[in-house]
Amino acid sequence: MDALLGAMSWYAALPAAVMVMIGIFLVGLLLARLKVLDALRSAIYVAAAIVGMNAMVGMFAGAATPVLQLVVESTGLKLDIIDLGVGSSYASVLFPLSFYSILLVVGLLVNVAMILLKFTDTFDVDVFNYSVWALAASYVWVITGSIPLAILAYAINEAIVLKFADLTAPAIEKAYGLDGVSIPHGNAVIFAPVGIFVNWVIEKIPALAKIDWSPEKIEERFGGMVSPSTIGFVMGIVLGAAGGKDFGQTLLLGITIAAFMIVFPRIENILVEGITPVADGMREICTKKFNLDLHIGLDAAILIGMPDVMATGILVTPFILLLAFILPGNRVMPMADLAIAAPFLISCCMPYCKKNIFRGLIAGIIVMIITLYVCTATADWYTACAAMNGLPFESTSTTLGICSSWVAWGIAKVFALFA
Amino acid sequence: MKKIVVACGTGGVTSKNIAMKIEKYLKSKGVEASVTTCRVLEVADLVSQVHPDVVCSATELPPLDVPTVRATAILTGVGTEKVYQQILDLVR
Repeated sequence: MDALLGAMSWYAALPAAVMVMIGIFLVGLLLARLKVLDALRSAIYVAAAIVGMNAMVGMFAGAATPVLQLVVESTGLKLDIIDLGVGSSYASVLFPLSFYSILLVVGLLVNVAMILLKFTDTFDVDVFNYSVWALAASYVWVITGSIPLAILAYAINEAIVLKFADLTAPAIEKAYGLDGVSIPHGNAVIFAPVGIFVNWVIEKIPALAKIDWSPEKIEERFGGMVSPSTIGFVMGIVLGAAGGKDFGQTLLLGITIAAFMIVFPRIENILVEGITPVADGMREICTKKFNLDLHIGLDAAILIGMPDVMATGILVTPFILLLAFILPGNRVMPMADLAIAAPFLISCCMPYCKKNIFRGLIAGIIVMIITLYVCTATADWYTACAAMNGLPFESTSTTLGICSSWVAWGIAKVFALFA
Repeated sequence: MKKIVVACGTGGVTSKNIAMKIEKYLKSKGVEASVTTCRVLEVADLVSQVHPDVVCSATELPPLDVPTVRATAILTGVGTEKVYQQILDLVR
């Protein structure tokens, strides 16, 4: 027993990227039944991506944080929590959890158990997004210091999200013709109730219920503006100017932030390249054992291309900034996720809003209000977790795309009561 | 060298996932292809620059001048052979 605990503490004390490499290697070899060299390649790619992503997050935070602080001081607005983007969560908080590999295994086992017990109809093949459930685990680990409790929090988060996926599958299938698919995407599917609520309210008000906008025109006119590199560049310029920097420094800030927006996804691709063989292996092991009529759980990205989701996302995006400034008690400065958060988070509302963009916009604004408050409430845990992983952020940080999960926040609050 | 573009919501995880699988499949059939990923919003611009032979996507695509294939099946694992065959036929 002592030897095992000793080994685990030794493992947890290794540098994060090393832990990730060993963990992915073992899962790839043992669970996904990859050949040794393939498992090794996956492990190295994922670990390398973690290193690369962390370097980029550091560059971004290093450039943006000081200027942001200047702006905060001079305007008196307390927007001190910086949104570092979804990638920062993968690179610094979730994948580097010392027990992340255990979470991958637990994730699969819990899904299988729930299927066998008929608690869910969803078989989530999207192993990459197991990471989203790990948010609850990271909060609980920070609050209680206990890895077993964190794993339990993860399992609870997973169960809740799988249930949401089951419940929303019929509406999504009907709206988009995606048969046999459900969306157990931890941060998107949990906002479906907002869509249901908004649609129900609006249908009671005839004057509003009539309003319907066309997605094509919106995409045509505004689609080009919502490109991450453009938004990043503009934000950099605005921040630089507001922070009183000279011409050269301001443009440099614009370029640095745009660089982050453009380069980061490429590095994320490396992570995907590494984890896909592992995820596929894990899935194949399971599909060989099951022949049930299950929904296949997928990433919410498959909904993003739908015109109504895209158009609504485009319209909601500027509201994120506006809300950040006017909501009392909000401390989050939207930055890295500004261009991509909206389409994701509202994607599962759209089927319930009958793909009506006006209703989607209202739902989206409510989703963003919730997002900003939940991100404010969880930023300390999120930042502490990165520090505990040995990959500390420069200052209190969050990410709109991931930390908006009110489910993770709720689970953490409950555990905090008992801690 | 055949050119393929794969689009998804963020141009990140999903499209890369699909891209890798398409590349592997085509290689096994002796077809060399370069596969790029992008976001759905950028796909029209990318198509006019790169002139790919096929555009694939896990989600809906806007109308394009090149042949498109809905590749959701590659993600779900159900009905993949049909989609792969479609892509192969378009590329040969």
